[in-house]
Amino acid sequence: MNNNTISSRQMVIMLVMFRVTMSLSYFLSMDFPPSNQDNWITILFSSIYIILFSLPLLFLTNKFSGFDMIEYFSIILGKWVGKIVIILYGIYFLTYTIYLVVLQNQLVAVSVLPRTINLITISFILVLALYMLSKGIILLFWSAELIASAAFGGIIILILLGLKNVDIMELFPILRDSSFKDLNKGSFLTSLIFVDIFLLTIGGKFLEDKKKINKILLKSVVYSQFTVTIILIVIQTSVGLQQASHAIYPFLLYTRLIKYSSILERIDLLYVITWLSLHGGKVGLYLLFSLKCFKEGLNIKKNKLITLCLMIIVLIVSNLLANRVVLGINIVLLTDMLYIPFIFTTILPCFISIVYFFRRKTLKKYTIEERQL
Amino acid sequence: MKTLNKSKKRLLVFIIIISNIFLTSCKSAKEIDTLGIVVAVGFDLDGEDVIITNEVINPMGSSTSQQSSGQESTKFVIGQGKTIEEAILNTSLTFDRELYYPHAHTIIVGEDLVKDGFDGYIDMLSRDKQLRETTFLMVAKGAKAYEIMGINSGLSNSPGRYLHDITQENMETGKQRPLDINRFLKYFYRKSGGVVLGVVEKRDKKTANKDGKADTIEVLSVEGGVVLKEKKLVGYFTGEEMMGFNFIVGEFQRGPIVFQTPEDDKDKGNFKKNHYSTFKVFKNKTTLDMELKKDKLHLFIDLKLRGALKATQEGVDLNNPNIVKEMEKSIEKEIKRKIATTLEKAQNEFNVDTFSIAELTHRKYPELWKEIEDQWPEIFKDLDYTIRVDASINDVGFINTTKKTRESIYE
Repeated sequence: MNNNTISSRQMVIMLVMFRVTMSLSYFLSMDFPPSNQDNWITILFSSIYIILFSLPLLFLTNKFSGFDMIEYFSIILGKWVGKIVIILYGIYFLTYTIYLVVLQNQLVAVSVLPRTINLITISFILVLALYMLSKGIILLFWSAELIASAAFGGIIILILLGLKNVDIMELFPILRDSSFKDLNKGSFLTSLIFVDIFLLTIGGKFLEDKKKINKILLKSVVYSQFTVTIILIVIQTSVGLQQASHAIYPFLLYTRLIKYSSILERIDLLYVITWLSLHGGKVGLYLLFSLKCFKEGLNIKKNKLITLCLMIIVLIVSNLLANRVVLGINIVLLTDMLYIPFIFTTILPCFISIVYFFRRKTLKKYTIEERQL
Repeated sequence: MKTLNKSKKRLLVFIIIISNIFLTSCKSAKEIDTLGIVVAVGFDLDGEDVIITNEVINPMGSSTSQQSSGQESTKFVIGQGKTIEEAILNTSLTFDRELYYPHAHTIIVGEDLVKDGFDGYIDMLSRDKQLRETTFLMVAKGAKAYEIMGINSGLSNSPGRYLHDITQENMETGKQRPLDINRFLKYFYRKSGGVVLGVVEKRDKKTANKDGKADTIEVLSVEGGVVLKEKKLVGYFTGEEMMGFNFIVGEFQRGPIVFQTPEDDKDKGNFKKNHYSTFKVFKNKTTLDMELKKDKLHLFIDLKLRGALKATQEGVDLNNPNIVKEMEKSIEKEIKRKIATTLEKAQNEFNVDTFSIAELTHRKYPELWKEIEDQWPEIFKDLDYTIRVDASINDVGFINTTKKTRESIYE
């Protein structure tokens, strides 16, 4: 394998793991309609929506397979509009990074370091992210193959160890208490949580075999949604439907129940390590995406300057938020906020695709068909 | 590879040293000699205040140093406040250690507090990060929690450990229901039914002393269960009734069943008064089913048990297959009686479904459930049921017949 490329396997693993981490912290899907024993079906159904909402970006990535998302936005939208859109994406990635940092800081505080001041924890998260960022996107994917596999092993171990607390009868009756409307709404909202298509649209440029993009997305959606469904089922059936939706960290609660006499108990630290190792990579990657957007959008050549600026912004804003906000409490607000990623994953790319259709003849030289000729 | 210059190397070394200072976790470290490790907690009500009783490990009274220091292995520290948190906080005003709860294995709640309504205090159990979800939760029957927390009539080195051990050891008898916080909350959050929680009770028990005279000592008993309805105490199940309860909910594991021994008259089994045998269950499977018969719900409780004959007071001829069958019938009869007693009490006295029958009905008849959900207490009260027990004796131990039986056979 070429040292400057990413394999399909690495991309699939990264996509799956990034989606699975969303179900290991607070699990919004449990509060989405129908909010009962049928929620696992909404996770499976959400696969369709995830693919559907990824179509505009997937279409463009397929068309401009030699370029990443930031590059082909500039090509399609032209210099000025392109720059504005890219800066908007930069702001979105930066906001998402801040959200991830606040979430990571919150879990560290809850599970291992309750008295450590937020600024120290956030600084450490950012130093780690900075290190990953300095290594570049390809190395991130390469190392993720190892880390994500180990973390996935950790998740499987935790699921298996907690199985004795599972009461599968909690899942019955199936599809009798939920209307199609509720299931549909739940699936739609669930799909908005899993927005990691950007890994494919930015990292896809480095793929070993660019023709496999559609296959990668399909595989990753199937694997991730299956894993997330299993996680949801074991949580709901072991801690109970009601208690699971009350809990801010339901999977942490699930792991805290693991007890085999006095031989094996208090294994929840494995969960914390697993989650942190996966989440750390996510912070680094989204910070990298944001950096790329601002660099391109603002036309700044000095890498260090822009990195420093972004780090300071993330540090200050994350610290301010961490001192004031607890994520996972206001479910209504969190649900409403899910529409922001929807704008960037689907709505804006839809408009850009329309622009592409109008300009497709002038853009022909950039597309894959033309280059193949 | 690009090599680092001198100033960068110095900076790197500086960062590593600084990181090491932070990474030692000294910032939020808790030294063990500053902690009061709590092994059991009690909650009581005193007027509008909550009393919290903590049994804290006394390092000076540990097994090795106990003899030399003459101190008890645990100390009881009490605090009072408007909320549980305030009570804990107030405890620290008179106690020189920070109370540390992750090692608490039992929480005892005073009867007054449960009668008053438990939901106001539940919040702390699910919100607190220190308390483990696997901690046992029990109700002090007819007493305040602090009244029973000091009793240790076993061999354990502290009263808290003694209570935990008798709870753990008796799990198989079926006469109690040790629920941990997680399982309690799981049932507690359900809309339809009540919860049966383990109890602990102070009892006087006879014991022998060196003079050969009978003495009375105070012991703790975990026999029975407390019934909570709409988050309040409505009554208790006895140990016998708890066996019936555990049979219904499928949590009877390996307990002994004492049944009337059938009379050995070769053909049919009559029962002699006060002659009992013991059957030890080693496998039990309960299946609950609900059927709609003529617009009325009917509950079917099916039990399949396998076990061993542990002892018979009256010698019976086990070579006679009819006798074994009669014994099995007698076991079945006894189990049916236990189940019926428990169900009758739940239906008529408490009028609360603690058996998750509501969930069973919901699963079996989801459409009907939407119509009857609000009337479930009334429906449960008049619910008809059929108990079917299939018990089989698979083991009789090392002997087939008793000496007395053998003699009567050869006569």
